[in-house]
Amino acid sequence: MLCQNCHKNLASVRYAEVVDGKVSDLRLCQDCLAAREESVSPGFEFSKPSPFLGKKKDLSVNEVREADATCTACATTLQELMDTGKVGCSICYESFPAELEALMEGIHIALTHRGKIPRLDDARVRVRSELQTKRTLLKTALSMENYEDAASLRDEIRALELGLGASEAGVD
Amino acid sequence: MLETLLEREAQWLSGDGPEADVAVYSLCHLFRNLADFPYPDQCTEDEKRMIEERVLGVLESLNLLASGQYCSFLDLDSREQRFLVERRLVRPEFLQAEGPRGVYISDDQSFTISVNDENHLTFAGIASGLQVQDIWSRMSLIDDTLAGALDYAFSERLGYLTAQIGQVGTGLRANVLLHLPALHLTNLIATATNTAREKRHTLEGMVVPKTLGPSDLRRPKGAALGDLHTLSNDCTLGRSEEETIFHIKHLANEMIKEERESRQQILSEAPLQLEDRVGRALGLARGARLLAFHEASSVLSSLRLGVSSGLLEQFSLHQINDVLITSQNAHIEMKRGHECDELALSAERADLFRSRFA
Repeated sequence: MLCQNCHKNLASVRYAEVVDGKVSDLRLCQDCLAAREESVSPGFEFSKPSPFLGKKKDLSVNEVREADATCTACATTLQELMDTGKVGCSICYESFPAELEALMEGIHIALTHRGKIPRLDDARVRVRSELQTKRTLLKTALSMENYEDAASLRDEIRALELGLGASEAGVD
Repeated sequence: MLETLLEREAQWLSGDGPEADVAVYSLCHLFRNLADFPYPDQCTEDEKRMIEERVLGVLESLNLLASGQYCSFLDLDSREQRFLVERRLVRPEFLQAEGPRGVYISDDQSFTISVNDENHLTFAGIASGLQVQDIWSRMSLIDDTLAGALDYAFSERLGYLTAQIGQVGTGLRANVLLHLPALHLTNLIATATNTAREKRHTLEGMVVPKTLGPSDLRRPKGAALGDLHTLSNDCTLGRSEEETIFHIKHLANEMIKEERESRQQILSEAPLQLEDRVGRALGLARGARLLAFHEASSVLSSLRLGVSSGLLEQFSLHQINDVLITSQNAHIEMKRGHECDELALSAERADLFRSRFA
């Protein structure tokens, strides 16, 4: 899409900021981003260029809220959150889902957790999630031509698959 | 309480970890929160006390306190608190936190759990050289054990919930401290910084913590203190812990390789200039009567380069690491038993250098 500021260049970054108490979310080109970054006050650092383009959900107008909206549990305001990048409690993540998502998109690889899960009782689920991670790692290692790591990962995957097969056979 | 820490050396200072000629230490932080309290910034004193009691109870029941000690920050004076920061046992931000808080420190000072820092729990593991994988494996086991006894704030979609939105997901921040003097000399440091950024990591010069005093901040703008740079992962959401560790390890290895190649290039193309730099540093270490911390760290950088290039066989990385840590302000003040002014600190530091590099 075109840059929403100059309407000339191709937009390459998503830019969120608080203007007059409202959260705005814009797609900008590198030139307009540079111009904006110079003009904003220091301390605002959550809209670094993201290489992950074209996959993002637009914030629709009715999702854009007043910056003085507060978390239902700890009374942290949206403005405070935008200024500091800090939430007050776990409920903040439920209170401002769209706004936090816009901020986090610029920081993280993706918006879905991959990795550990606390108190996972089912050992097989744990092994499956470990398998998924190791398969991703194997792909990365091969693309980096890191054959040493790839070989040991392949062995680990094989061992996990064998273990999983055995435990499932046991269950059945 | 801290006297035993002062006498006992931290394990990572040994300088015997893998790739220790470039990687000084690896340090991982893991952030966790309890589900039923707001984050420490929003907690009342009573709530913080309840959190501390709950965590201490669990540490005791798991018998962790047998192999370490818990220091309440309320019992420590400013000098002792800064001492813990300088040892990398707590994050510098912990000094600014308020109210009931403290840190569990393992006997070998390789593992700590801070309570009521920015998050309810901050695990920290440190080891010599490039050992992010080992640190993570050990830390993850302790995390699992605690997860069985504490109810963590967790969302299926966003993972572990944290006070900063930049830590949510795995809550794992891995750091490797790299000594990169040759990349500075060959002007490749900017390239390395850009490479890190492209791969969603940050490579930044080690900064002087505010605790070290104003005079130590007088150094060329943008110059890394002692050519030391921290490499850390930017993203915690969307990549699993194992992937995070894999990527930072790979990137650190790339930088270590480049630093070694640059050192080799300098050794073969300008051996005299390198010997001169190392020799001058040794002259300062042996002759200076006053050494500010920023100057001391630059002397140590040259000596470290001398040791790892084989030019200074009489000294070891262990010795360099030890002096780097013990020449910091709070360490000097702990040894002296009271707070010191700038002049006294510089004089004590110079004495330390003279005796250690005689």
